[in-house]
Parts: sequence; C-alpha cells; structure tokens
Amino acid sequence: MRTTLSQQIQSSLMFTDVASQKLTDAQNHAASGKRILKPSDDVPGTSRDLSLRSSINSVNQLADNVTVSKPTVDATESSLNDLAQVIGNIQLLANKAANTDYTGNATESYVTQLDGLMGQLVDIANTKFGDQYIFSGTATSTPPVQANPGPVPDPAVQPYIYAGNNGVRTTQVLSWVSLPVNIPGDKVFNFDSGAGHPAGAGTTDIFTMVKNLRDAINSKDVTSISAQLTNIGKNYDNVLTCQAQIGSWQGRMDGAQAVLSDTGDRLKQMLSDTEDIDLPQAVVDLKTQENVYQTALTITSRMLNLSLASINLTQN
Amino acid sequence: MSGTFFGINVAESGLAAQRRAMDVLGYNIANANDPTYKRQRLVLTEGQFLAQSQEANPIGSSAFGSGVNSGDIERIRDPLIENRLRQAMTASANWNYRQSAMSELESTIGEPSDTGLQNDLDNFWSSWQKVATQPDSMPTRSGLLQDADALCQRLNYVSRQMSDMVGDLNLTAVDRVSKINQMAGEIGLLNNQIGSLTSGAVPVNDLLNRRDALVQELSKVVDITQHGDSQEGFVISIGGTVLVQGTKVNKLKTVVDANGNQQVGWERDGASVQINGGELQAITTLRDQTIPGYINQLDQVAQHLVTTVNEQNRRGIDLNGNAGGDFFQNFPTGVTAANITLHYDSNPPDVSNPAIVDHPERIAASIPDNPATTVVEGGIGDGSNAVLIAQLKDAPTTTGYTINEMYRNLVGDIGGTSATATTQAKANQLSLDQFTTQQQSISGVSLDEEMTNMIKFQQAYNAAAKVLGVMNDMLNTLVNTNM
Repeated sequence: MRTTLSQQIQSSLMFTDVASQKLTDAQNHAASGKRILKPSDDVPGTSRDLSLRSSINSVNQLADNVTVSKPTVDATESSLNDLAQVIGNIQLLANKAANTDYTGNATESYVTQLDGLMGQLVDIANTKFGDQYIFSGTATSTPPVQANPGPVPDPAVQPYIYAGNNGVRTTQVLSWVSLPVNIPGDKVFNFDSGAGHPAGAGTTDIFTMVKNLRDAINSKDVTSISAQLTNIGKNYDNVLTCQAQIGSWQGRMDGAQAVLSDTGDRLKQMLSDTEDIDLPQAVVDLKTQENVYQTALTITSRMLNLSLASINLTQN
Repeated sequence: MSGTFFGINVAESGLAAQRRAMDVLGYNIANANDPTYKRQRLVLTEGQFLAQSQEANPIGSSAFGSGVNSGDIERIRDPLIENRLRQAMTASANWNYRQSAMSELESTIGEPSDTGLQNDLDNFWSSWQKVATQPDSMPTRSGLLQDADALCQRLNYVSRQMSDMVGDLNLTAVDRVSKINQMAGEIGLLNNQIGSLTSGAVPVNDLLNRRDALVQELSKVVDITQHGDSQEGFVISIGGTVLVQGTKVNKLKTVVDANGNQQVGWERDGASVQINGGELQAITTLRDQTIPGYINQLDQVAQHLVTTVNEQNRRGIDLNGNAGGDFFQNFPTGVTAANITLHYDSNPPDVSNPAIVDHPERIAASIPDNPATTVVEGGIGDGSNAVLIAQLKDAPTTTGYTINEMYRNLVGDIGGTSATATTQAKANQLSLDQFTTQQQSISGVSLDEEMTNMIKFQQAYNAAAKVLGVMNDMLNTLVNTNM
C-alpha cells in the first residue's frame, strides 16, 4: 500500500481520536464513580437502576410511616396503662366499699375518691397526641368522650357519650402489611357494650359503670355495690385485651422496621452494584487509557516528522 | 544519418519534460495537506517516430523517436474507492447525527440520577403515603400538592424539551436543503466551466477536484448516486430523481406538512423526495418517528397518571367531608405531558368540582361512610383513600404496566436507541476511516515519493543538460576543424 502524507495524518488522527475518546470516557467514569452515566451506557442496567431507586424510595417511605405512626401507638399504649391502673383502683375501692359497714358519713370519702377517678378517666379518654385525640377513631379533631347532653340516652342513666367514630387509622408498614395505629374509644371504654363486645353482655361503658358504683355507694347498699364488681372486672379485662392488641402492633411495627432497614440496605447494595464503578478497575482503566493516548501521541509526532524532505538533500 | 541538430532537439525536449515534471511535483507538494487534492502526474511519452525524417530508410538501422513528449497531466484516483467512500460518508453522517441527537435526548431526561423524573414520580407516590399516615396534617397535604406540582412541571419540561428538539430538527432540515441546493448549484457551474476548458490542463484538474469534494460534502447530507464523468453526462440523483445533470440543476424545497414539519420536496413539481440516507434522513426519521414516539410514551405516562389518580380521588372525601373532585386538570382535548397540571377552577367555577391547587384540604384522603356496612368511616384522621392512591404506584394500568414501568420503558427505549446509534456511529466511523485511508493512499501526496521523484527529475535534467553540452562540444569540434 502506498503511504501518503494525508493518509498518515488520517490514521494518526483516527488513533489519537479513539484513544482520547476512551481516555475521556475512563475519566468521566472514574471521576463520577458511576458505571452508568446515561441510559445508553447499560440499557438493562438503567432499567434495573431506576427500579431499585424506586424501591428504595418506597422502603424509605414505609420506614417513615413506621417512624411517624409508632409514637401514636406508644402514646395509646401508655394511656391504656394509665386506664388499667385507674380501673384497678376503682376495683379496689369497690371491693373495699362492698365490705364496709355503713354507719355515719363513711360514704363521703368513697364518693370523693370516685369523683376524682371519674375525672381521671375523662382525661385519659380525651388524651391528645399532637393535635389528635387518640381515642376518637378517625374523627381525630373531636374529643371522644363528652358529657351527655341528653335527652337520649338519658343523662341520668349514662353520664357521658362517645363522640368519636369507630374508624381505624391504618398505616402501611410493609408493602403487604397495613397495621392499625389506634383503638377507637368505643371499644376501649365499652360504649358499644353488648353481646358482640369482648367485654360481654350485661356490661356498661366505663363512665356509667363508675356512676352506678357511686349510686350504689350513696345508697349504702352492700349487695348492690357487690353487684357492680362483675361489670368492673369485665371492663378491666377489656382494657387488658386492648393493651395486648396494642402491644402486638408495637411488636409488629418493630419487626417491620427491622425488615425495612434490612431490605433498604440490601437494595442500596444492589443499586451500588448496578451503577457504581469498581474503583480499582476504573483506576487501572484510566491509567491504561492514559498510556495508550500518550503512546498514540508520541508515535504520531515521531512518524509525521519522518520524511525524505526532512533529510538534507543538498546536492554535491 | 540524422540531421545535424537532431540530437540537440532531443536533449532539449528532455530538459523541457523534466522541468514540467518538476512543476507538477511542486504543485503536488504545495497541495500535500489539502485532503480534497488528488495528486497529479505528468504523462511522459516517447517522441513521435518521424517517418519523413532523416531516418527515412529503415533498412539496416532501426528508427527512433524524436525525444520525449510531455502530454496530459492526469489525476491519480480510483472511482470505485471514491464511490465506496461516499457511501461510507453517507452512513457515517447519518449515524453521527442520530448519535448526537440521542445523547441530547438522554441528557434531557437525565436518568439515572437523584434528580430525574423517576425521582419526582417516587416523591409523588411517597407524598400520598405521608398523607395517608397523617391525613389531618395541612403541611403534609401541602407537601403532596407541591410534589405533584413538581411532577407536573417536570413532565411539562421534558415534553417541551422534546418538542423543542423537533423544532430544531425542522430548522436543520431547512438548512440542509438550502445547503443541498447551494452545492448542487455550484456543481452545475463547475460542470459548465469544466466543459469550456480543455481536458488535462491543470485548471481543469483543480475544478474536477473541487467537484469531487462537493459531491463528497453532498453525500454527507443526503444519499446520492453519481455517474458519468463528462460535462453533460455527469448526473447526481437522489432517490432515483435527478438533482444535477450537467449544468442543469433540479432544486429542492421544504413544504410545511399537517404536523407543522418541514418536508422535503422537489421545487419543480412539489413531489416528495425519496431520502434513504445521510443527515437529512436521520433528521426526518428523528423528527417524524423517533421523538414523536417518545413524546407519545411520555403522554401515556401523564394520561394514566391523571386517569387513575383522578378516579380514586373522586371516590374519597376531603378534609371538610365534601366529595373528592379531580386531582389533576382533566382537559377535554386530552391530557398530555405538555399540559398536565393540578386541577384548577374553571371559569365560571364548577361548584361540584372546585380547584385543588392552593387548596390542600381538597385532597380526598378519606373514604366516605359506606351505607352497605354500618361502619362509620371517614373522619379527618382517615387516610384510607390516600393509601389506595399511594398503592397505584404498584398497580398495573390498562397498558399492563405500572406508571413507573411505563416511564422506565421510555428511558430504556431512549437508552437502547442511543446505544445502537453510538455503536453504529463508531462502526461507520471506522469503515469511513478505512475508506478515507484507502482513498488517501491512492490519491494523496506522498512526500517521500515526491522527494525521490525530485531527485530523479533533477538527475535526468542534469543528464539531459550534459548531453546538450557534449552535443555542443561535438558541433564545436566539427565547426572549428581546420581542414
């Protein structure tokens, strides 16, 4: 093949072009730390990359859901603890009252104590977490327990009514698991008392229960006081059941959090495997391309200098 | 017996020939760096055998010529290789154009990154989860509207960028057509000049070189076939229709079609031009098929987003207990990625479907009371409907893909097309380089060769001069002989 000046220039350009392009590529990848800088770098990889990013976003959001909801559940749990304690106190008081010999003004101290406990119950029922009433179902801006305005039901029979609803707020903690974060007050305080309620038939709501006990003590009728004990016991059990429920949700939220943090780590690792460069490899590549480019330049400059024209042809 | 001065004439023709050869050589060297230049060579032939000369009687001695003739100056070229080179240029220009347009598209969508449309989509779905968890929190609801707005604007932006590219391609098409017309006109003029000059003279060679260069440039813009070499027989055609024949030029023009795109037609009768390669084909393909396809895919994403989210939002109730309305604006002319936006008040306002933009309380996060069951749902703390909307992220649309998958497919398509274009551009560049090298090997100027020839011509000139000198001596000897 004939070798001509333009041909030499052409091939030199070709080699230096290719080498400098590869060097730039290697530099871009090494400097950014990314294997995939644009979709065409790795088409299936990009698709996987986007999918992983989306999954990571989902997992982060679910973890966020747990973080946001867990305090509400915790607050509910601590309120239920308080509630159980108050009902326990009522139970003690009722037992004591049932075994009292009512002479003189002995009822007064019980009644005063009961009024105090009633106040505590209303406070617990209307506990707020942040701006939300935790026992009013999904009607979170309504105080769940309010004085009965009458006429139906009769305020003389039922002193307080439930103003919330039985909605359950749920939060998605795993893509396939939604957990409730609240127990509606009608369950806890037994407003929906009846055959279907866990507290059982023949029970009343907790506030009516206190009122009935107070009435019985006021009447100084020991038999009537003792009769209240069954209702109190059943309501106490009901609160314990609610506590158990909350406890299990807390446990599942903790479990979900562990799963999410695990999944998140694994997804991030996969994303890194997909889009990040193998750094030592990238540095070796960069070095190699540098050398190739350097060589191409050196060869070009040497070759283009070589010509008969550059040798002194002055005649003798 | 030859004439007295015959030898001097022979030597003189040698001197003249070597000098002319040196002129051509100098011209070659002067143009060594012009890539369109084709090296030239002086054709040397033996001088005519002179029948009427002193050698009239051939018997006993052989006749010989009258010196050296320096005739035509020919261009060294291989039309076959040049043809292949032109084809390689057409293909290479085509893929190069596609590659640069596709990489522009890739940077428009900016994936994969933490700031692309995918991220906006994910944030949008996440915001629904946030509202689901805290449906009674106004900041969370405002956050959702902001994320939704960001998503709309991103879709608008990407769509606009793609439409802008179509606009740019139209401008480029017009530019390329005028470039073709200009080059075709120039070729026609050159043909005219070439015809009026005698063939073989240096100026004609230069004109031919210029014409070859123009044909090469033309073949980058559009695929052409060229045949014939003479003035009138020189024909360039595009898609079977003649563009240039001799001095006659058939110009192109652009016509705006129904989509507002500049289509290429013949100026003479408006018939469309059959374009099968070159930049112009890349431009029209990108403009008429590739990019509109991507815009359509993006529109699909927007449409399904609007349909599914609106449908579910309408099933819920808002913070004030009113029935949910549209979340995104539902344009009667159809939703596209270019116009997607949050639902705003129509004029006059539709009381049954008030605006959601600037009204975070209008987000229908709750599910209304269900008369079928006695369950009382839908307080302000109920986020069940928001959960359902958040779960649309993983729900397949009527296309069989989720909205996220539809977008991923678009990115994959752009990436795939771009990767193909890059590979093809590289491969075609390689073959173009090969043919260029081959062509330059034949037609380029080799300095070594010219230098060697220089010595050759120099020595021959020296020798011819010497012959002349000796001849002169001999004549001297003859003239000055004392007889």
